[in-house]
Amino acid sequence: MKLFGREFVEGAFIEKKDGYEILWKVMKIDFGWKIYWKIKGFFSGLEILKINTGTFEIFPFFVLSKDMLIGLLSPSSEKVEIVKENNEISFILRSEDDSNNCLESSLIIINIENKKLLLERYKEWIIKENKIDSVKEIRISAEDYELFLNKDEINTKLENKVIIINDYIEEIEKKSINKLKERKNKIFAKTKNYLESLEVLDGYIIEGTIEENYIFHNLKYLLLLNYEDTFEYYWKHLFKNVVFENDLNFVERIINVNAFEKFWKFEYINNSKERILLEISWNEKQIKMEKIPFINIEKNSVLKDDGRIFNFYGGETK
Amino acid sequence: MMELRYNPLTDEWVIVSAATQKRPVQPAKTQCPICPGGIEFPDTTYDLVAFENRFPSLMKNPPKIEGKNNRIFRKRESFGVCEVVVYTSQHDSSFPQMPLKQIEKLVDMWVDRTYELSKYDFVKNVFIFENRGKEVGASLPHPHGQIYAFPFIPKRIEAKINSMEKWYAENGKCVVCDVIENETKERIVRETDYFIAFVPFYARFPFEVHVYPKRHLSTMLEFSYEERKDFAKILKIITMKYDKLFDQEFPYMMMFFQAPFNTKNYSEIFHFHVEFNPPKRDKDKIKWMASVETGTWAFINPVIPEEAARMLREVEVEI
Repeated sequence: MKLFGREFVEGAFIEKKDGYEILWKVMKIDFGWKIYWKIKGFFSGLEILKINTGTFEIFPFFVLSKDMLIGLLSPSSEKVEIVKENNEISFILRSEDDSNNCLESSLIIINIENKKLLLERYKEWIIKENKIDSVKEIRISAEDYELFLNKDEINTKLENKVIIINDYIEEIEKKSINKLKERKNKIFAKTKNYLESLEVLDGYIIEGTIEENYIFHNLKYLLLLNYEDTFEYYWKHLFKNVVFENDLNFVERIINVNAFEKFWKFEYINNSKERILLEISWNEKQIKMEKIPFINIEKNSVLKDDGRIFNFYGGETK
Repeated sequence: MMELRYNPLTDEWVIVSAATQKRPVQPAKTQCPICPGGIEFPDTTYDLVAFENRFPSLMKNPPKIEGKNNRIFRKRESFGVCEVVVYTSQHDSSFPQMPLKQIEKLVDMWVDRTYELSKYDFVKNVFIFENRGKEVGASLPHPHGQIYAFPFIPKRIEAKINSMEKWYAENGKCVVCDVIENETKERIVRETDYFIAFVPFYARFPFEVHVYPKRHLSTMLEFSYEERKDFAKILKIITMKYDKLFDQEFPYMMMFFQAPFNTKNYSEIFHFHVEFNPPKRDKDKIKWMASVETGTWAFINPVIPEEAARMLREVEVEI
């Protein structure tokens, strides 16, 4: 492992290069290391960290093996790219303009032989580093809700709405997003980089990998548009913070999910203990929500003179 | 007198209910209170029915508690619901003898009762069970079970929740999902599309069988329609195997364990499951819940679980 081209060792270092200066600190933490850096001056591309590929999988803002996670800690890390070349993975810092930069950021190295714990520990560090409060309930009513199919349909004059954009936030003009935020709208959209969009989005349309979603569940609302059977177990765990308009109630328990590219439906129990069938057609811009019965057989409840209730059931099951 | 009393030695609530003393015990068939024409249904018949027990331990509108509460001797009103669940109007039938279609309807009824009872804010746990046979205290031979909608989480369920939480924290997955993934053929009694039944590695009773849904579900409310039908099927298979094991009406306690309601959400860690606790250790021998088991919760199982599983597996039944 190399850090700024040198051997990885604990401590604080300063190095002056042609046109820029790097300060970095390597600090021991529980189960790993935290690395902080600050760079002043002009540079085009700078290698922060280099590791052997090993069994690492690469994600937009972190790499993960069965016993190690190396991840960026804040949205300002947007200028860092993770690049795989030959048998090595590098974290490269890119500079976007020619001005005199002063960039500071951090990454973390965690070493635990449990993938879930690695992700959880990483999440804890993201929360700490970005001072994130736990997700607060957003109550959405029908009139507050705006559903767009794509970025071209965004109306920046909207105020106090919940705007669900079925497109990548990175592909929408920053000016439009800023206007919407200024007008106190809440924005849900897809993103190519969850960490990068941390400050912009109120909720993510689930798009990334299970690992990314796992880290971000409970940090932001997650809205499910695409669904893969194999991930069912994990998706259900991500649903905690999902909200749906025109039902003022919150999803309490998911019962079943069926989702296709442009159409998805699922059954859930809301916090008023109603069983709801929700169908969304993205082609027709329609959301259909209906209460459905819990059972297939007939039921008749009778109140007896002594105050007891008798519930008679029968008929044929479907 | 009906109230909940707190035991500070064990941190648990005890239900005191004088009314339950009046429950009929093994009346003659002609005196069966839950047959059509009996005291509960004097002028009606039915297919299946769930009704509030005439002699309840818990009530939606319990009497006010008598006397004063104090720091040591704490008591609470007995909020809750106790329902009798009658499976069929056929007095001489039994769970394993009932047509599969009838058990499917029963499963639907259990789901609906869980749903309805969980709507009461005071209900923290919906416990569905059947005591079959005199050996486990069944007072009526007519096929029926009961539901207790508790205003607290009973001690053993609390112990399960604590263990499940601990396992989840240490292993990152639900303990039952983990057990299912690692269960070996030697303990499996029967497997269907959506459920698995086996004598657990940790069986406390000689012919104890657990039924687990293969999918992670925390309560019956999450059963799909297909799972409900499959659940009916596996319960019928297990109870039929029991009856055929020693060619007798095999007594058992059948208990459903669901995640709590109206409290912290335990759906991630809690996996719905059924426990059959039969008291027999042989054709004519009983495994009693005696001092050690009752007093300490430590069980001595005289039948090796793998052997019990083999015996049950080899009993062939057709449904």
